[in-house]
Amino acid sequence: MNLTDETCYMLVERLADLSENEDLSLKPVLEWAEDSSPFTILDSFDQSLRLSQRLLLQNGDRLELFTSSGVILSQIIALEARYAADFFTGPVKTALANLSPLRALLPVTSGMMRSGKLALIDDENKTRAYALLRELKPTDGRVVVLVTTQGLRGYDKALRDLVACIRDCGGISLSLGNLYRLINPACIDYDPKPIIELGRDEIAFDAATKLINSHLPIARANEAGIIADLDTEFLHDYRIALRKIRSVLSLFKGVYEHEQTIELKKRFSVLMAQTGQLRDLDVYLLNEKNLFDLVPDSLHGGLEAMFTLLKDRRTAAKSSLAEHLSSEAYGKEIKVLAKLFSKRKKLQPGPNAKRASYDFASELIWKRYRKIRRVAAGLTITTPDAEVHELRIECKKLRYLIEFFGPVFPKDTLRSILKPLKKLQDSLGLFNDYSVQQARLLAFSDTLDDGPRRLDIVQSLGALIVILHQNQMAERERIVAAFIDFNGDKTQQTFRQLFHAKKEG
Amino acid sequence: MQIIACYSNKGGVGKTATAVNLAYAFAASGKRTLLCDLDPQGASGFYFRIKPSKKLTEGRFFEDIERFTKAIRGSDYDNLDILPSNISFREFDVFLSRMKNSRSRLKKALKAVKADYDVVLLDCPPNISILSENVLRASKAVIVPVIPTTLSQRTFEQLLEFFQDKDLSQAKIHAFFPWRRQQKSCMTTRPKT
Repeated sequence: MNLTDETCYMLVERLADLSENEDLSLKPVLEWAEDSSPFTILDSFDQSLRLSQRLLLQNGDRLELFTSSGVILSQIIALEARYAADFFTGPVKTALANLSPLRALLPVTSGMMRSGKLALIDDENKTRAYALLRELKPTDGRVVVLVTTQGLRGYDKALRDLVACIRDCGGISLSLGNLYRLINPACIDYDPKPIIELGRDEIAFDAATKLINSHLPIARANEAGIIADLDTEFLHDYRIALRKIRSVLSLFKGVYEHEQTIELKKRFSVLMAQTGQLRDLDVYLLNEKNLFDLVPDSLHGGLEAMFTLLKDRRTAAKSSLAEHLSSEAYGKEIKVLAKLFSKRKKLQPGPNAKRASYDFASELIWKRYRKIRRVAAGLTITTPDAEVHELRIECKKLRYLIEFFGPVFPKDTLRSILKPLKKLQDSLGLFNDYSVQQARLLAFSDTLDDGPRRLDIVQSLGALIVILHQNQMAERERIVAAFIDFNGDKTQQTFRQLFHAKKEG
Repeated sequence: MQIIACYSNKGGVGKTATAVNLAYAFAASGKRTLLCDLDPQGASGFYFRIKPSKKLTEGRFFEDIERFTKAIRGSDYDNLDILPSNISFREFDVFLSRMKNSRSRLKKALKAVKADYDVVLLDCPPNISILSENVLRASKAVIVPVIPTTLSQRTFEQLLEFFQDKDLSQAKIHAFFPWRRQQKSCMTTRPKT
């Protein structure tokens, strides 16, 4: 009933300061339920619940979702559910609809918990404000108490006093602190897109090394999740981190010595190559529903048979990648690479190593931008697929360069060019997906042996390929439109101003 | 928002006990409930240990929406809020008689909390007055405890006549015999905290 309700957490030792506080005009009364129950805190690997200031608690057979503004939603748990979408229909599921559907909810910590209540009562024994308590005793970690205030209408002062008192006792709002780390100081924050600060005058060698050194731990943080097959995003993020590292190596020309650059590119390519098959299969399987929606019901039988085969192949690909990532050879290689970029001693500078980041970035981005304009200028709806793919790759490189060097350019101006670029990339991405899917489906049909469902599968594949081809044609027209938008006078002017002004001036 | 009145023009028949228990039952079933204590004796508020409102005096109940909503207090039970009365509620009729549209003033005042509650229960003083007419007009249902005594029956007949005179629908009236065998399950004393 009141806007100032909130959920805080504190170490259990501090609760006594709250419940035995004698300075309050109202009397604090603490009560605990007699029984305790098992609890688990759930969150995605990227802690999207914590970052959105929420806490998901599995409390016995119930799920409780706490928000920083003191709301507690509750519903019965669906035992096998690993994704929010698999929960039973209920208020918690509704509130979690904004989470990524691709990320599993994983245990952050678990143990035993009990519920309680701390009330502030007046001289008539009337409760004026209270807080619902959850004491969490993790199997491994520090004991904490969640304190969710519940103001009563007409008693604003009592609520204010309660909130102030909770703060005085070290209570931290869910919107401010990191509860996971309070429970377990070793709990890591996983950020797949960290902001890597670069100075304008920082030399290119340092910038490249810093970027690679920041992305290697991101790749490594995902290894365990890939091996345990927790969700498909672990592999996706792992590949992005490796791809960014490879982009730094290929885009930051001459920063490292030529031979070493070639060798490093090769070593990272080898790491990446191991992951391709599983990622392809993941993409297929994630797209299962869409593909079914594309063809008529009469052809679903063939698709079902195809997906059964793909699932078997995925199991095999997953085992093979898990084996690779757990191998001694991989462990050794990734450690050597990590050491190379963290210690730097064995990195050999190339001819561009000492150039200032700002100048170097401006030159690289300007060159790439001009190349894109050149390729795209001749783009029509009859341009061969290969040229459209080239444009997609160039745009991706431009995007990475702008993102890598983002910190050395004005943020708002960058945003104004990234927006049309992103739109163009989205369209190019869809075009590529349609094209790659067709090629893959064709390749898949070649791998079929003369099993009983072969004909069904081939028929369904044929229908899918026709539809994907139509979609691809339609997307081509959108690419032309998106490029016209990207190539507008204003964007051209901004590119020139940001990345070429010095040369002209 | 549904408005339900617990009403009898005779005292001591169990109006407040009915209002308090009904309000609790609605709240416990998940309805956001407001219990308005219109009786200047303040018995409903007393049940819930809520002190009389100091600021909602004289005609402000009907005129000052902000003061009216600010006087509402949360009870110790989920979903149940109380509007406590005070001694000045005795003068309701005097203030109402001075106001324009004096017979629909209560309904207008309650509109201010329309979004906050599913059910509003009115615990009324035992008389037939302008306030009563306001209550009976505003309410969707009128719960009338009737006990088997001559006086109680007589006042019930008076109520039926009043409905007829004022052209109110008698279908709103839900009379019942408040006989309680299992007294423990009802709130007849102040709950212990």
